[in-house]
Amino acid sequence: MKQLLPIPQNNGSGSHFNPEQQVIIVMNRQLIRRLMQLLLLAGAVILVIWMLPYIKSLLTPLGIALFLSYILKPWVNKLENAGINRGAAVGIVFLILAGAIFIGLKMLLPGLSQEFKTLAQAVQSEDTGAIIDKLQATLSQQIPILKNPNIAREVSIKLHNFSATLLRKSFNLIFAIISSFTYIITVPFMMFFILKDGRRIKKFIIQVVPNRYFEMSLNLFYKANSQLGNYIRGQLLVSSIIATLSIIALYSLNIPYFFIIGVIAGLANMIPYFGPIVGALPGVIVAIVETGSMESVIGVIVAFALIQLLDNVLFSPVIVSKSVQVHPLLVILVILIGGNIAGILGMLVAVPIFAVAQVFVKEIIWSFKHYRLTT
Amino acid sequence: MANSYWNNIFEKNGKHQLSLDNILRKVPIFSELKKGELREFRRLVHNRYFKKNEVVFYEGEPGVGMYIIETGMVGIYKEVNNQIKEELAILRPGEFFGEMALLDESPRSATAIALENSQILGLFRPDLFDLIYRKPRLGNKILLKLAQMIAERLRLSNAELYELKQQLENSVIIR
Repeated sequence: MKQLLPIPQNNGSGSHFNPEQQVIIVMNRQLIRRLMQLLLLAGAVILVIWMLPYIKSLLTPLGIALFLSYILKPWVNKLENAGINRGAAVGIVFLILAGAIFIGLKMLLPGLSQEFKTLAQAVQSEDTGAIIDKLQATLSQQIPILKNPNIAREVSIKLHNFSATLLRKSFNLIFAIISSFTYIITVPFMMFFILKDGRRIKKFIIQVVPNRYFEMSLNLFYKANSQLGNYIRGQLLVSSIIATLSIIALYSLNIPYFFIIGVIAGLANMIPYFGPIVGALPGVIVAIVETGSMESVIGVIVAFALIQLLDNVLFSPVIVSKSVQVHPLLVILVILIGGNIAGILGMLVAVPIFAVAQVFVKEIIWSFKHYRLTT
Repeated sequence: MANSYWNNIFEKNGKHQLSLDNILRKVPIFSELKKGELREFRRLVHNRYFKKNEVVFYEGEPGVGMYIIETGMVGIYKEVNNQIKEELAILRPGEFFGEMALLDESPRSATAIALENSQILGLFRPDLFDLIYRKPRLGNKILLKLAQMIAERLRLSNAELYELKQQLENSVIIR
């Protein structure tokens, strides 16, 4: 068959009418189908908007469950690789995790609560004025300009306001803790099914994509999914390393509350650019207030700077996927927008969300170049 | 106790799976899979329905996976300037196409069009790679079969190439 034929169009008709009649029928059918599709789409959009207030409270636990599932997935896959049934593999991972959390809490809780208690006592007993005096005395010894008494007054007023706000906020925090107890049940429940039936859920979602976009969507879905997984796991590993190193450094410098400060530094490290500064601040403040010696303050700053250097030169380039790199200017803008929308949590998740969106856009552009979608 | 309502459903289900298993077993890559392995494998494949004249994929597009025809008919065509130039094959139930895309993302070498309303099973590279990682024994079995099939094709192409070379040399000598 060596003749040139046009490629058939997807009109789905194979009847034997005369061409003019056929064209009109096909056009009508296409028009009706388009209209039906539009109506369905409009209906779906209205339904989602109407349901949004009801499902909004579900989005946070679902997001947390998805995030944690990404971290646990490789372990479940490893167990499945060893010949264990998927459901049982998820169960085993859950048991190990529950055991680790239990042992960890049992070991760390007395120490942590002691740290919190002494921290609280220090704030209560010494009253804020004394701490400020101490802080000012230490600083003014080193930096003569700070001898101005107005600074002390202003700082103490600010600090009093801050403690009032803290009290108000702590009530909100109690309510938040109570509501977060429901997460303790819902999040693991969701995680179990995401880990066990994740593939089936993915298959179900991708099933609805029309044939012409199917291969493209499948490709997009898998590429974005694996990049997101690598990004989340990489970030978490880097944060754990930073936290461990910070704890070791602070402990060896004899800084109190080293554990809490180290964990904060590790978590804050997930925010690019601002994170390391935010993470180092509590360490520096505690060093000033508690030890009062400039050497330990400088020691803390040097330790954090060294850890940052290691992170930038070694950990992040090796561990975090290079493919989801975002321009520094965009990172700052995205973090600020995230902060405006959802506070500190917004700042934490802004860059990962933007990175995923960037991967999606890149893959969509690639797909439009390589797939014939319009014919 | 006989219950016509449920009995019917189970029978229908069983029959469908049996025919699906038979179709999968016709494909050399899956011919030696055990019953349990075939069941695991069925979870990976996507069931797609193509209308008559609907394009499965175009030549030059990045390949994502292979297709196995369950019902219907698919034509494979070579294109020149987006126009069909040559019919390469007409494939029927139990036959498959696009299996090279299971290995890499290289462009499709031909266009595939459904010639009838067709039920087609799709097996895609990311799912196969995931299977290789999760169930290495089953994954290796499939990969080995795929490699054997490609080796066989290479052997045939070599033989054809040799024959063509001989013909060319003979024609040069005759001239």
